[in-house]
Amino acid sequence: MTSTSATKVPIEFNDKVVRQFMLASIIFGVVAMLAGVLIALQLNFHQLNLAEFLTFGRLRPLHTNAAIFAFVGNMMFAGVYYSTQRLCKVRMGNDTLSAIHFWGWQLIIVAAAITLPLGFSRGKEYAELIWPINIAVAVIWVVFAINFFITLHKRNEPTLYVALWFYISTIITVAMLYIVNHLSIPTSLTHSYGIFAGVQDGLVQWWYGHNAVAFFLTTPILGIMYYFLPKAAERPVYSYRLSIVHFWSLVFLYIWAGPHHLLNTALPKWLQMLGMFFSLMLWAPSWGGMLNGLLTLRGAWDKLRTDPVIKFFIAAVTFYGMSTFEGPLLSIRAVNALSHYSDWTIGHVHSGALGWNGFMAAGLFYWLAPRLWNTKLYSVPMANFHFWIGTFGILLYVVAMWISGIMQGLMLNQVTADGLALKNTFLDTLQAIRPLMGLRVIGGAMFLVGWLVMCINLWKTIRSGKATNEVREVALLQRDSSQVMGLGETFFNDPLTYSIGGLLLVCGWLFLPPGADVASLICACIFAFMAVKRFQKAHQTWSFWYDKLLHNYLPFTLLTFVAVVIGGLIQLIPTITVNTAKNMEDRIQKLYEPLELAGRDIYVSEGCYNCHSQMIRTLVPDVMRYGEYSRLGESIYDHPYQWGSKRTGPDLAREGGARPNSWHYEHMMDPRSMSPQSNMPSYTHLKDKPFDQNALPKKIAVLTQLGVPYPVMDATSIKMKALEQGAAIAEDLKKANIVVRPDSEMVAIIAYLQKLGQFETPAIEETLTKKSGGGVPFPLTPVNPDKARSAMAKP
Amino acid sequence: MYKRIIYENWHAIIPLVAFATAGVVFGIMTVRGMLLRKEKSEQMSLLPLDD
Repeated sequence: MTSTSATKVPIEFNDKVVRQFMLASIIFGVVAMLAGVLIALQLNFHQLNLAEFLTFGRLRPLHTNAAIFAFVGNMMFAGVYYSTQRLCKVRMGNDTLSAIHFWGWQLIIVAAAITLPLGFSRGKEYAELIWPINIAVAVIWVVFAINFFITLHKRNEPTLYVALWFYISTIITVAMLYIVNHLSIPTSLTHSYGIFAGVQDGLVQWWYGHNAVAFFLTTPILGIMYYFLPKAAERPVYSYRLSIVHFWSLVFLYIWAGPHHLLNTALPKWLQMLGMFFSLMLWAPSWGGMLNGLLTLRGAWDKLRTDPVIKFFIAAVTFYGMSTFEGPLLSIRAVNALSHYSDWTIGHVHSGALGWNGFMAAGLFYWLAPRLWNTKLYSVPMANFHFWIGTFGILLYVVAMWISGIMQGLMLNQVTADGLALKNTFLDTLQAIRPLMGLRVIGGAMFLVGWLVMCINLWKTIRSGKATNEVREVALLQRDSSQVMGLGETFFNDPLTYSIGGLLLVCGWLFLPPGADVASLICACIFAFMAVKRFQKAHQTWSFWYDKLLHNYLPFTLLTFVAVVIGGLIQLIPTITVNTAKNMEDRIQKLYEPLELAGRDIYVSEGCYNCHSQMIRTLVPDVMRYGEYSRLGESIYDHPYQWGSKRTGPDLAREGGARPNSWHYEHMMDPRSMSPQSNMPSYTHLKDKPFDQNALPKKIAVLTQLGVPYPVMDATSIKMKALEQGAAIAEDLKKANIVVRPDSEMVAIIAYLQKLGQFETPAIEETLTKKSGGGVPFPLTPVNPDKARSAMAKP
Repeated sequence: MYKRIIYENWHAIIPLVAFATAGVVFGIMTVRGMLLRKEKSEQMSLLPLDD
């Protein structure tokens, strides 16, 4: 057996890097929250879109990236570095790697803070950073992984505690998600096109986006919970057995749930069902974890009154329970029909980000600071004030967003008494939720005030102490070769053979042609029976194998990777191989002309997708308001897809041709002139800025390489086409007494907006259209109150 | 092969498959958790407190 020797040696932990990450998280927490309060104010007061680089569309990605990667990212690294050294009873693997990790990560954050306001964006949520920064993130993440695994390799504790399992799952899964979702071909130093388009891009994006929440904002924080909560409560975790069920079921189930972000859209229905049901089943592990955290405080609930660290941790775990209850609820298709694209989702996200992540961070920092600087916390009353103002801030924020989301959803779906017309314009609903958007600002500001009080409290604490690295006497580990698990033993053993075999046979039932599928199902049942029989005979061997696994970090990591990769492969491979343009039997999107492509890139760069969707769902109210539901093929060449996830403004999927060019010009110059009381920023800077003609040939070449069937064109003809189309639009605008240069970004974005919703009609649909005389799936021509907006532009 | 998944109206069985898969994972890990020896469980849960 592997054992610890009687020889003890002093080990000095690398607590410098923990202090660095902690301070970075506190500072970037302020930045992220300030940006959040500012953009929330911009939604109430459009005048606060002060300059081109300070518009809502550009600052919202800055807010989300700062909150996820800078604030929670740095907090997570602080917690991981502190607890891993203690749990492994060894100093971090390599000090240079720790330093590269810290400084590299901060450089990435600074690069993001510069490029996002400048409008350099990939146009996908939480994946906006441009390709050179993507490469830097991947490299720094690998540095972190190497450092972490060296630490595991050198450890003086034979077994891996559950917190380390969560860290392992984070490291490998985030690497996998990030790399796949950021696969791109550059067109310049600051621009690239992702390799996926349309539905494929949407599915990959939410496989990444949902699991960024799961494996960046949840699993590492659960690891932190499993280490720091017992430390703070001074008692062991409630049930270690429950933590085993929690970990494996969570990492296996979470990865499947991504499609719930695309419910009722053109995403194939089997994926929607899969996403919805796996989301529902996430209730069990999530609440198992929450209860395990809360019950850790058994017999010590009195500490909740006196210890601010416990207060923050317990409130955080409670918010975790609340948001993981709400998440599956929002994944039910019927609920999602109301909540999606509304503020309800924003409230859900913030109960997780502020309540779970923000409070875990605060508890962690209040616990760490006195220990890292060898002193006492400066002020407990200040920490208590932070707790209460933060709690009320979150509640105000979340409740306001619940009411706002549900109210706007209901209003958008409301029809007149005869059922033939929609009752409210989009702007009516926006006016109705304005007071709630105001309350959101107050709630967010309260949370920020609490955070600033914490900054002062911790600053005073740090000033009263001295940075100290803990030194501990540690018994060295005597390694025994019989405890080493090889690759063969990792993969070829009864528990794994029966699990994987059973899963493959169930897949056979799904994927094989009729006849073979039933045979596969029968085999799966026989296999399950054999597994039970085998388990009755040899359960001790199975237990021994699992115990041994916990002594071997590499096999453990490989098996965790298998658990997280299965769901992704089953969802992504069929979609990527089948849902391509050549297999589309329905409408196919018309290719963008060069000028329209330039306009699309401006649309992406300005972050228009933050407020406008391009996906008319298969729901009656959506069809009544925006037109025919969006087909899969109508965005099949979109790199990146722009289906969106929030409608602060209306959907634009069928905007093309709905209004004259002059309407769009006036609307971009001053949205209030066309849509009174709109909160959209003015885009006057587009008027005089020429679009980048020279970039177009390379962009079209890259899109062609990615499978977009552009005809052969040389650089000159591409530029000429763009200028000719621009001149035609400028000429048309002149009729409305608008003078604009034909090579301006304004003209390009108008060209793009006028192209939205144009498609090639396949022969079969033409036949159906002729037969029925209409071809519109909705039986009546609905009365859309938003159509009045187009009339306003007419003289 | 995958075309069957995309085009055929078989998504009604998805809930069954999802429940079955999740049930198997829960079942296996619950059995594993129950079989963990008491002393081992206590030893593991005390690791964070081992200063």
